[in-house]
Amino acid sequence: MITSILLNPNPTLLETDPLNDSVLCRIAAGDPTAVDECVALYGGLVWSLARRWFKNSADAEDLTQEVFVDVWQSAKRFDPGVASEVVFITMIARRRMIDRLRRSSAKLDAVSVEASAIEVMASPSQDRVELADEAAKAARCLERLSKEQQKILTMSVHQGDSHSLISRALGIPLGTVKSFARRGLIQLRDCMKKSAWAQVSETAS
Amino acid sequence: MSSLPNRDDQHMQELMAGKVLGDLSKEELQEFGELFSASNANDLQELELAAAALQLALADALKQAMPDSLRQRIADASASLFVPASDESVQFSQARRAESTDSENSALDDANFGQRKSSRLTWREGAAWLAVAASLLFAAQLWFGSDPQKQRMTRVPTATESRLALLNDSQNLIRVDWSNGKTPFENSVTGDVVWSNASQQGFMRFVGMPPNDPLQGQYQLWIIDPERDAEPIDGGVFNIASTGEVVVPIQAKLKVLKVAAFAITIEQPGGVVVSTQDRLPLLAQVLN
Repeated sequence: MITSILLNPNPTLLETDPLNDSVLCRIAAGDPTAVDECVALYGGLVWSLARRWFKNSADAEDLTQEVFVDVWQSAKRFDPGVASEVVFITMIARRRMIDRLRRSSAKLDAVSVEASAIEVMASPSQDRVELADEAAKAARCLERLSKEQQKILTMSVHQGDSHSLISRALGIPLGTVKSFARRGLIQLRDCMKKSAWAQVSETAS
Repeated sequence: MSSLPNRDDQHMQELMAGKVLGDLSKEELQEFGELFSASNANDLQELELAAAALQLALADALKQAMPDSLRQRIADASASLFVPASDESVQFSQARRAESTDSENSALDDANFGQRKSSRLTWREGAAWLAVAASLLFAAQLWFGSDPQKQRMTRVPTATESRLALLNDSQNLIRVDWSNGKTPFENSVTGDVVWSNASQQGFMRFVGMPPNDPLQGQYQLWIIDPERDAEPIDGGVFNIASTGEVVVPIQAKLKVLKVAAFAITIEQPGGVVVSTQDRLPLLAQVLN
């Protein structure tokens, strides 16, 4: 369903849906001002993701630029009914980060939490992106996984640690780490389809 | 007989999860390439979105300001999107694609989403946009420039006026009264919600709603739309300054498909992304 919508964005919907005032829809529609706005809105986020995965600043800068170029090129595939803008952009960022790591064979070198905390700067207001509903769901669903899966997925997804690095850090066999990570992600996806709000919804209907 | 396809499906799911996590070995990558088909695209997409949502959730506290030099670099790159029409053979997007021909995910993008179409704008298109914008500005100046009555028309309507306009102009509106939620207010609160699915616009009206101290807590609207998702849509955070009639526009963060109910919760300043529903004083149920 998700993919079919992304595959075939409805041109009529893009023209008439007020939610398509979103910056990605405006880029897709050819609004040149939306490009700068996109960077202003999501630059801080993409840069932060890049810095967390790539200790080398030059790599992080190249990656950030690469992500935005891809975002502009992919804007036509964005459908606000499928995913929020920020999750769509994060998805593209993830793809490019994984590609870059593979291309460069760069060591997955996570920045420590302490170092990141020091590096956090007061972001201008336009760099602040509200946490999307999907992210909230993901956070809640993560808590439902086993402690090992939580730890492994956090190191893998958040810090960009390789599974071999996670294996050494946690003293867990590599095969187990891979299995926990993959099955954890599958469970996370399945959990995100459910909801604690179902009860309120049922009451309402 | 039936267990084999399930095992195969589970194996494919794990390969896709490994692909999304970027941990496939060379052998697994080859296997993935051989086994992946269009019928798996939906599952892969869902896994990608789940991983992205998780990364976003975990990264929320780590937003850093982008360096100015990088911002400029990206601005320069965006300028490259506007290439002269006569130079269409040298397309920026093609150059970028050539750079990443060894990119697994770039190849996968095309597999998932079909052939890419360039979203590059030509210089002519850019000039046309500017010309249209200039014409509109000129026309607006002619229209509003001299007539004081017309100038007054540029005033932004209040929420109350916008609500009335929505009520007058829209068909198939949803209009439901507030009722008590799980933790009702001590005093009765009345009012309603109007919502237009067509325009994705709506307003909440309250009478007797307790004013809040924005430094202590804020009200937050949730739009319950099971047809879209089991999770509610964040409808925005707002304050109430008086117990009189107050109209608040709805700020739906996602497209609403079919509303089942609207719920008001009281949350920490700035709102929350996941409500515990500990304080849910008002609910407006839609009878579909």
